[in-house]
Amino acid sequence: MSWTIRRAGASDMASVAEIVNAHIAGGVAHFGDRSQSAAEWSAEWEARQERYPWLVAERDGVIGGIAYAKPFNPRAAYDWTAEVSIYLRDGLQRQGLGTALYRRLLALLDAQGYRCLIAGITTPNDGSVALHEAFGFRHLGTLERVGYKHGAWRNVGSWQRLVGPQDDSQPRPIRSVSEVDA
Amino acid sequence: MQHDYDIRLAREADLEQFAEIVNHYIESTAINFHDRPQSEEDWEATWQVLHERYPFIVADREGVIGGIAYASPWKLRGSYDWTCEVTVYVRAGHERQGLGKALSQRVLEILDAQGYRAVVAVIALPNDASVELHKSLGFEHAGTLKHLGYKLDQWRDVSFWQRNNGDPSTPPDPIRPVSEVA
Repeated sequence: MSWTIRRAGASDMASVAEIVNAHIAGGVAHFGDRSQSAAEWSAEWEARQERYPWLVAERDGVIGGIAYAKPFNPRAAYDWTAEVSIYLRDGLQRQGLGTALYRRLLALLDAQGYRCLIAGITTPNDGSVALHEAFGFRHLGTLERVGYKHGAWRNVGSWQRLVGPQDDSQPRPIRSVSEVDA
Repeated sequence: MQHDYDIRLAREADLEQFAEIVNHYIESTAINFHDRPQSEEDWEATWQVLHERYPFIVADREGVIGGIAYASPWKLRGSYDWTCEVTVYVRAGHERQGLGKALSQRVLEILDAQGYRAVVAVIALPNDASVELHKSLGFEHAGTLKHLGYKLDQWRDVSFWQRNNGDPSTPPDPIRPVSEVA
């Protein structure tokens, strides 16, 4: 049976916390140094989910992965730029889950009117780089030794995907997720 | 050219001039991506939260602040604790006296002594003066993100610059407060 990709709801936040906390504790993709509670995730989701899409992959009531977007920077000139994140449950890599989540997430962001998407990837991470490049992200630079985790200095690369006309015409206001997810 | 300013730690009473200096760049240029001026109270709130852990420096000549430089967290997640972002602004009309360099050098000296290991500068392009200043301080270009912001009717590219400090083979020490080193 295949995975269903759908918008996240408040009741998914316990699973989101569980999935991301495994990355926080065991990996270097996420630079957090303490786990995040379902309540913290709910607050973040609640505050942002109208303007930034949050998706989960579900099968038989189990959440296998999450993908979401957030502001790249709160200053107004960055309004059309979003940062994207994706986390899969341990053991569910290489089954197409990331591709399915991103296909839907990027379709929503494009329809909303975002013009620039950024992904920050702790390198090396061949799986994540391949996923992003398959969706048209390009590597624009790397900050070296910008974080210290699990006993080593880590580099973080920035990948960028531009959308829409590249002239200087005024970008349209961002539409809400609900408006484009009819 | 030489200047005769006193380069010193900022005090609360300086923050009105912080707002004055930076608001010029917010209102008249695309090098700061805010769309509305910041009040003295905004700066007080920022300074209160940050100034013990991040240096705030001014160039003072008889009570007139000719420029400011300060550091702030690069990102909030724990592994980024040893990375900060630096910002420098010279008051309009006070350029080309070496103030930017003097301010930046003082900030970097303090950051190095505190134990920061990576310093990042974010420069919206074009801005030759700022690029030259940061190169002269030992920053290296870490990448440019295209069309990251839209301000004053144009898409703006944003470049990232990095300066590392300390031996990359050693783990970091806890960051020392500004008052311990300056």
